[in-house]
Amino acid sequence: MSPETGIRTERVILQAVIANRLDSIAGEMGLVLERSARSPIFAEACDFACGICNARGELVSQLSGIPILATAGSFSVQAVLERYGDTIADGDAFIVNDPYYGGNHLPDIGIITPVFAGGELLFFCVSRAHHGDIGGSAAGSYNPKATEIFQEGLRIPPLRLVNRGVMVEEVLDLITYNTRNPGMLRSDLLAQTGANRIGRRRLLEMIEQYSAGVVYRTVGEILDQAEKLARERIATLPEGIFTGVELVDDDGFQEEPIRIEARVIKKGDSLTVDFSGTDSQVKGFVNTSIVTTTTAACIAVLWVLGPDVPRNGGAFRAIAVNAPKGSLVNPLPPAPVTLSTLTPAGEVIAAIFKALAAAAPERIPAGFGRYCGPSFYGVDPRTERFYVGFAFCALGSGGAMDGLDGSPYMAPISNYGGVRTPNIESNEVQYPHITLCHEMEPDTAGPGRYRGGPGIRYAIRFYDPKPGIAMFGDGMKIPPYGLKGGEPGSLNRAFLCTREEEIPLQSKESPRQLQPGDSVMLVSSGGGGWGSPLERDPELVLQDVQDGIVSVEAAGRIYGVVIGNSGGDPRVNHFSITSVNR
Amino acid sequence: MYRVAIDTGGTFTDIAAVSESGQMMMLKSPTDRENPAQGIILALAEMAGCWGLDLATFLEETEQIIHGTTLALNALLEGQGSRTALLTTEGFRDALEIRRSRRDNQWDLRAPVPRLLVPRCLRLGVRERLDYRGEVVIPLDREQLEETIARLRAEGVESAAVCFLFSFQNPAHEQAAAEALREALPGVFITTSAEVSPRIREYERTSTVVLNAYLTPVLAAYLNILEEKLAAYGWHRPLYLMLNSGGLTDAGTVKNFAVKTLLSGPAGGAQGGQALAQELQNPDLVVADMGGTSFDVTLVVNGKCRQVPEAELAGHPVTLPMTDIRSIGAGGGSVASVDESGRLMVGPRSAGSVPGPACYGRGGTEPTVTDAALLLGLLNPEGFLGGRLRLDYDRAFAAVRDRVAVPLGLDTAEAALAIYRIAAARMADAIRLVTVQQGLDPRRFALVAAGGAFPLFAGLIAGELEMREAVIPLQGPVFCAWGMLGAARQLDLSRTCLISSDSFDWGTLNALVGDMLVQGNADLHRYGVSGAERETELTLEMKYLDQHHEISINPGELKFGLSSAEKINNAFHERHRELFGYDEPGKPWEIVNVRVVCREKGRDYVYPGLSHLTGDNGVEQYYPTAGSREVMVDPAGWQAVKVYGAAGLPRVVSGSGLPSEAPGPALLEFPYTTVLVPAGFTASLGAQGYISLRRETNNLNNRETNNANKGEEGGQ
Repeated sequence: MSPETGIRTERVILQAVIANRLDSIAGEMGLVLERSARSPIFAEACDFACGICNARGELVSQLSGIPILATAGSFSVQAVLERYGDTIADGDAFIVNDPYYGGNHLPDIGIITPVFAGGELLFFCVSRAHHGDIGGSAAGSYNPKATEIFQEGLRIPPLRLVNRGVMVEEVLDLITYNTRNPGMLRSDLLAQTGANRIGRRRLLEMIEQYSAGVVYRTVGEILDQAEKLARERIATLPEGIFTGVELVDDDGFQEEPIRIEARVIKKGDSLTVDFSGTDSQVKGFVNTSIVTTTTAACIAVLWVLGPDVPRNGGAFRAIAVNAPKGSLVNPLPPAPVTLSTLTPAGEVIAAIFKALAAAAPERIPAGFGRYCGPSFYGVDPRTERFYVGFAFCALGSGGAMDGLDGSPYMAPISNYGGVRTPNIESNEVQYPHITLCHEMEPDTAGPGRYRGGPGIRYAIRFYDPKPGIAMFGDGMKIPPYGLKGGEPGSLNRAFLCTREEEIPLQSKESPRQLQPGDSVMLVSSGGGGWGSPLERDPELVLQDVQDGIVSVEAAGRIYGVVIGNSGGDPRVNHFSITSVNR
Repeated sequence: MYRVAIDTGGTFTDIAAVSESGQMMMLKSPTDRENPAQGIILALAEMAGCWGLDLATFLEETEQIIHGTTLALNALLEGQGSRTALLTTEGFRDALEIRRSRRDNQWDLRAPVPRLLVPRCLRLGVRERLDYRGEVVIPLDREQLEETIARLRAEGVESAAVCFLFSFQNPAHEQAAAEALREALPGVFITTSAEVSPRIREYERTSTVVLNAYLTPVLAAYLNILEEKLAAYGWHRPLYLMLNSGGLTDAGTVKNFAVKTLLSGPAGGAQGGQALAQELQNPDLVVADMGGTSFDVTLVVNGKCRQVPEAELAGHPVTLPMTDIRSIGAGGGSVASVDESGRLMVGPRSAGSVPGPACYGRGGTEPTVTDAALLLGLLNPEGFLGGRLRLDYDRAFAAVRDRVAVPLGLDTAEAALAIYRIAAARMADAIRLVTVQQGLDPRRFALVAAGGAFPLFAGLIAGELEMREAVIPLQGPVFCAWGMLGAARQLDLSRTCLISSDSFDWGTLNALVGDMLVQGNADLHRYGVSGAERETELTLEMKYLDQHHEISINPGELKFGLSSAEKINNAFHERHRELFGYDEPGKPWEIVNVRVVCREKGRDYVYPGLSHLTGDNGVEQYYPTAGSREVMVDPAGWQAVKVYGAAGLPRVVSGSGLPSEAPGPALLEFPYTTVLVPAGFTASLGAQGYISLRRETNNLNNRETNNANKGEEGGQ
């Protein structure tokens, strides 16, 4: 073997070996965080992400976490670099949440820990996690009536939280004192710094093994390769400008829907997502910071480019985003933004999917449900402790794809597969309510050759003396879209059930006081269908009827499959196909 | 009297038998997938022949048969379980399908989800409800239950699982429903969640009880046939099955709890690790087994394997105590591929055993780790699997050349080297992760190579992780079966209790533990294990009150009193700090689950020495011989290495033909395995039946020199 090819072989090996190692470090950070955290939304629902960035803030590896946080860590590190530059020291850690300065929305707090080797700044460990409460005028910090970010909670610009190994208690106190559950927030920030510390330790072990120079060079190569792969995949898409539009129901103030337009400009191996045609920023909290807009655009495009393209800073270089200042997708402060990681992040993704459906329909799913549900809060009569929680148990469902029915409970797309919904039993131990039902709802799945996932009916009854709820979400007016002749999924619905009446709830409602014994019922969206329902295999329609996903009536009316129940005994499932009328 | 262990895997059935004097025989024969019980009888007869006996005589002189089987796991993987129904609390029948909405890979919208074991039309709600304390909110509606039973009868189900909310607090409704079902549907297997795993979290509990319902009829039918066939040869003692936890239980128990045997085979390997730790007087081992598709790692720490309270198998959560076995997709069949950007990836996708690596000549065209090893000269094409499979060099060459070398612009041997090294690094990562994640330093451990494929990597990986040595036991090819020989009869109990530090009441805890001990001891008594031969282990699963995941604590006592709260408190905080990098003294905590293990005390293990280790009497077996071969294992290029073989002794796997010390680089060939002794290592033949690989100069200076060299390369 010649020395030259020997070096090349060594590089091929190192690239794979170091990439795997970085992934396993990021994975370990995530595991540590998940297992030790307190906020239910973060420990139980896994609304967090852990990653490693290079010294310029480019994401190198991020294994755990929900999709819409994919590039968020990178922006946070860049904000820290911008503010602290050369004063960043070994043993420091930084904190940030301001959507206008490196954050995405206020409840998501980033902790950033620099990693030095031989006096040289090489990496940052970053963890971002959604905390249960960050202050503001609504418990849980989803405030549908906020018109300024100041009503949404505490803004934290990049700040030094740990100074050369010593926690700056004053900063920690200032932050936690401004929230409703200071003890829990404090514990969770410790958990985040702990996870970063473990990431840092592992990176140093790796650097000791391979030397800083080898690691630095190899990480550069890993990012370049990801960019190359992303560009090669982009090059395989047809040339052109593709436009997709998706609407947001409203912002809680204006009645009219809000328009997101994504123009996807594909030229050679470069791809730009241009939001110039998108509406201006709005009064309510459905604006989205540039961080979330960029992430949504990158992950939407990468879903189309393939699961094997690494989700790192290299791949993100291949995707350009143009979001005009003052628009919904890049608002000027102090516009409120808290809902953005759910809506309109999902609708930004949907607009891009719709645009690319013209270029590669077989790779694009039909519409996913949008998040819509209450935050609930009060004092638990069992412990006399304050509590605040979210209804994570009424997620909508996924849209269908070519050859694949949608999956239940996978919405919204911005959180796809990253959120873990709590068990009913854990919820009832934790909160003073009892769950009345949690089951798929018939005739909610968007019909199609491949149908969407069915929505969920979920109801809880409170037994604390003074429960409160606020509603946040979307999708009560605009359903998940169908694709290629598939039909839309169902709308989100919500009701407050008192002893006397059933009151419909809006998707965005201010906190309101309930009476003990009141219950809240949600029926979440089914996903959109793909292809004409008249092309669906009649046997699958029959199975859906047997399974209670599609009614006999809908099978005949929408799918053209007439189904009879031949058995005399109503207790027994005797459905069969009478005729197919297409 | 003999003791016999049978480990039936997907491809091979391994048998290890030991006589009273400590002589051991081992045997590997192909698994009969169509008729597994018959396959075992044939293999046992072959084993009897090894001792010069017929099967009836051999069984007469056998005191215990221990059986590990992948039957349940295979039934799960292949969707061959029984037609199963699920009864849930009304309004909650979809937990199994919703799966808490988590996906392993968020970036692949088409990634397949684990098989749904009960279709929605067989998931039926029953009107009843308990609250979080287990108090009745809605009484069980028996009339509606009757309708449900009629439905199940009409659907012709073979089994039914019952899982009601909060049954772990109060199993009365589940029990009443199960009684009604058993009465009305004789012949249908009925199982309840509180009886399988009385632990909080309904999705995981439902998954566990559904697996039990889905798999038990299949496993029970097989065991009935096996027992019948054994009885025909005069066997009249109980047959013992290997459990996920590494303990043994009788076949009768397993006929109600197949879910407890999902890891039946690999758990034997973990037991083997414990026995080896004792034998080597080395309490800290990493036991690694590289199969065709996966690489399994088990830790032995202070002489014990770790148990976890729950795990996920083929995507299905199982909340039962299990041997902690971590798997990654890196095996001999792992596929190497290059993407458009020139990135070389090895695994996790596997060519499996069909079509298998290209060199198997069974239609595989993708290059695998085995193909790379063949091209690098590490495998003898004539000697694979004891000569049962001739490896095709040309096909391996073409696969590596076309799919890896050409796209990367490397020559084929270099490409093979890259595949081999990347596979090794992934396995090293897995070992590193399993150790450091638990706060353990891999350098403290010795690496044990179980199975046939791993000895080609063990030396290099031990070197990379700076582990003390790599140990290759000569019984490695039947390591799991061998490990089962040392397993003890055992009961694993686990219950949710929810006792917090705010209102710590040792009386409640004592009552609960006492209750569990009574249950465990009753079963040991039934097995005929006397009080003096029993031992007990207690684990508390704890968390801070507002956390969501528990960590396991050993409280060091079985009976609690005045000082217990403080002891538990200290142990909890210490462990939390170890695992997560911080703790919070003074914060309230909670005991969520209590786990009790009741087992017979470990036997004094008779480790068969080399002179006693005899084996495979396969007829068409290749007998390796000594010589020399060109191999390449690092970028320095090809070099001639000495090949040592256990020549001329087909039935006796022993050290004959091996020198007492072999300096690397060298290859040691055995019927079922090849050991690479890397350059800088020396293989020494332990008197006790294992080969040890150690670095010649295992000191820090040497390591720093290596690092410095790497640094220089980096600069070029």
